[in-house]
Amino acid sequence: ALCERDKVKFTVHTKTTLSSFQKPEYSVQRQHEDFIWLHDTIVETEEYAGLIIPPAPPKPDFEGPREKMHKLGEGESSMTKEEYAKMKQELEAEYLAVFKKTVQVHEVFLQRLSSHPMFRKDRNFQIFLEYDQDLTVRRKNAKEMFGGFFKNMVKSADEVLISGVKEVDEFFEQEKNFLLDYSSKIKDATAKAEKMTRSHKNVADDYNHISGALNNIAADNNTAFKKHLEKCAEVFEKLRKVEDRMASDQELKLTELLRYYTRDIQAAKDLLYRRARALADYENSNKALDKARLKGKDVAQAEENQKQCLQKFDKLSESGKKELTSFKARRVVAFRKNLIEMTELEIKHAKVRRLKCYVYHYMFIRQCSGILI
Amino acid sequence: MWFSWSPVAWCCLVSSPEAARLSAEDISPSSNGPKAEPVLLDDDPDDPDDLFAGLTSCESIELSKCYQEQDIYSYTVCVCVCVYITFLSILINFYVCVCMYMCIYIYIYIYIYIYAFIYLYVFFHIYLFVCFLFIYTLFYIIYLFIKIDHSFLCICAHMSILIVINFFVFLGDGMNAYMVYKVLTKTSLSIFSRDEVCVKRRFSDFLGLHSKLASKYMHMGYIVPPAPEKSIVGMTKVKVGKEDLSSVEFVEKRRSALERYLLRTVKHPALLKDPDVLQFLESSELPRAVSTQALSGAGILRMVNKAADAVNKMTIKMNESDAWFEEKQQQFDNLDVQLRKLHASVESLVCHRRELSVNTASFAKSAAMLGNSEDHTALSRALSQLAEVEEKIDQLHQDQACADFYLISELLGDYVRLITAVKGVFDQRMKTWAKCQDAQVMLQRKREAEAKLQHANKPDKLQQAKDEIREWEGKVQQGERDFEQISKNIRREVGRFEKDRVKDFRVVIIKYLESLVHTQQQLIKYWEAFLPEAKAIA
Repeated sequence: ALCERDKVKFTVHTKTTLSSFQKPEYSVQRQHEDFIWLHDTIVETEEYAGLIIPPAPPKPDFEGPREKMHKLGEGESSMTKEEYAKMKQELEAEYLAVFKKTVQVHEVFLQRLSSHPMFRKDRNFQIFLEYDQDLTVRRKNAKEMFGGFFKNMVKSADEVLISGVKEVDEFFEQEKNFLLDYSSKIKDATAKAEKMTRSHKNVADDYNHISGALNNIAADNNTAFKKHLEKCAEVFEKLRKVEDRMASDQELKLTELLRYYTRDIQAAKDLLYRRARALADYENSNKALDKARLKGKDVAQAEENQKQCLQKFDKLSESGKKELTSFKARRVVAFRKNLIEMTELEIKHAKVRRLKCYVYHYMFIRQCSGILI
Repeated sequence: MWFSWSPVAWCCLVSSPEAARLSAEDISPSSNGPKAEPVLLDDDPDDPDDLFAGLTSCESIELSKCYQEQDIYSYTVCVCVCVYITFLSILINFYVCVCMYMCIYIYIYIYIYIYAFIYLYVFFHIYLFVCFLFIYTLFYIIYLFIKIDHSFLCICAHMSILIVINFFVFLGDGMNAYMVYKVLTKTSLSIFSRDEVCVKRRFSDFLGLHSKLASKYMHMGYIVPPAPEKSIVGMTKVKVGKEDLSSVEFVEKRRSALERYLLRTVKHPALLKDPDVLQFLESSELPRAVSTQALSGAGILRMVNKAADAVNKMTIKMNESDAWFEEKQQQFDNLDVQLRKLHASVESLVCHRRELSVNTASFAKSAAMLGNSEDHTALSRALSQLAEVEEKIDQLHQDQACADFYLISELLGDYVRLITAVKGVFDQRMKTWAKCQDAQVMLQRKREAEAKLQHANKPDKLQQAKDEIREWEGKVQQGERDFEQISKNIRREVGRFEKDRVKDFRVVIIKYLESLVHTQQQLIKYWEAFLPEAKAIA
């Protein structure tokens, strides 16, 4: 992906062997809004009501680095050259981290779409991947945004209403309870994980300050103690870098995992909601049919209606079941992979840090006995 | 020949004291650098291999006069004696063998006598060898003792004094309650009447000791270590009887601060011999120092004095004849500012680390709940394991925070206060100078008065004037002597202070690095225990 001043342009490379595509390889430029458009069109398609739709990637958030850059620009005159260089380095590292994260999230979204047998064939998806020029996606104007917001509100009210509907299938009943419980817990865990990584970053920042202060002291002293202090400052500086990296790794793996699954669980809940909606419709149509039978008119229409609802409901149930089981399997696999990776990274970093601490310890002692001699 | 070995051997010995604490990491005492594993570092793209380039540059060492110590001599003596004895014994063996061989060769015919002769020689020689070996081992053992705590040598060959403060109890009740600390002194110095003394002291006793020492020694230029500060808020919380974490911490903080204060006081060679200090450490009953209370008469007097001093400092303008003092004053001013900044940074580090441990704990709890609601058994188990790991890590972080705090932050706080004391000493010098100047001005005036009287020809007043002149001349001389004395004392004190500062910082940083290593070790252990669990998710 490339980055421009305000927007982030993604370059999507596609390699495919499917016959539905015209060429085996594609490379197009897309923006974040295009991804959102794709997601929305898929959501709105009736056919996919029975499938779990992969959640849309969140908007790239460069707020943190942007703020820092601002601060850097302001304080440029007041800081020393080294501090400025250090801050710039820090800023670049942070920017890079956010960038990596964003790219990963968008990539995962597309990959999920392409690995699902149904979505693969979606026309919009193909356009997204193939169309050479800019998809000039009309950004939602105010009315549509408001409409979207309103729809959301209606949906949540609806959910509450529908939850009263009795569930016929035990599998779905179980799933519903599980998902509700799980989603709240995972949201909680995500929030806590975020706080944890933030505190880690704070600690790393503090090491930075300490090393700066030590450098200041060392600059004044001109005895052998000065080399001491400088070495010490270097130690803290390096420690900080390592802690920082650990924090960002932890974030990438653990927090991102949790965040992604929060959204995914939300999508699964949406599926359940649609199914419940279909069930409610079915029951309503049943009632209407009964009423029509009683009244004696429009019976055929009511019957037709009922049949359709039943059909829809059945289809939804069937695909929903499949989707949910595969979702669970997928979730387990993803958790496993991420947890393993995170643990291995932690171990690696801790080993590196331990080695470094040993080395600094040794060097420090060497230097100290150097002073005595 | 053997004396050329001693510097090399001594290098080995000196560098190994702290290295002995490091575990298997073998530290070769020559300048080859450690044989660390650069392989692991290659993983790390940001760190080039110049990590070890700094090692060879350590060898350029400055020998400044302040750092030459008695311990150098002790080391040299020890090592030389050991080596000398070894060589002597080897030499004697060799010599005896040669003699025997010669004897055998010459007197081969009188071999019967030779047998006796040989046996005697052999046994005597073996006995001699064993004797020397024994003496050698003895010296080696003594050397080991010295090596284990060679900081003692730095002060004086016999110095060994250990002060521990613990077992505090609460006496009295309500707002009049006070804390009593048991001060245990173990020493082998002769000026103490007993080897082990244990006395009970209150916080105000410590403050009283400090004020007495300050009044006696400050104007002579000695740097008197400052006592820990009174803290009304902290003490009130403890008095109220809250058993929470902050009051426990407060008591612990105060206890260790008092311990460090006493240790610093006795490290000063002049203060150690002071009768007040001895009385404080030894006598079971001490008159209560009421003058340390904030609202007492003495307290108010102190505040007034402080204000007057501040005003004086602004008005006295000393023309500094000695560049050393000016430079040192500047240095200490800068150091004060920077140490304060450093102290603030370290405190914020401690704070953030505490926050990190709290957040980790809450994350562990929510991960556990997540594991509970997960229906896939293996994943659920893995998640609960993760929660446990995180909890342990949280505990680890908290311990690390304590280490940060007690090691570095407290030391920095002490040094900030010490530097205030140093600056106070410099101010004393200025006051002495001002007194000297005043005396000179008075003398001048008296001389002028005398000259006037001579013109006016009043014999009786003349005599009085002459007496006064003599008196003031004496005062001027005394003032100048005082000034020189205080300057000399200050130089010595500042040298000692800088040496101590280096030592203190070094010890603290080494301890801190060791604690960091330990933390990383534990972290690795925890994560490695979790890894198979994570892999076992089917």
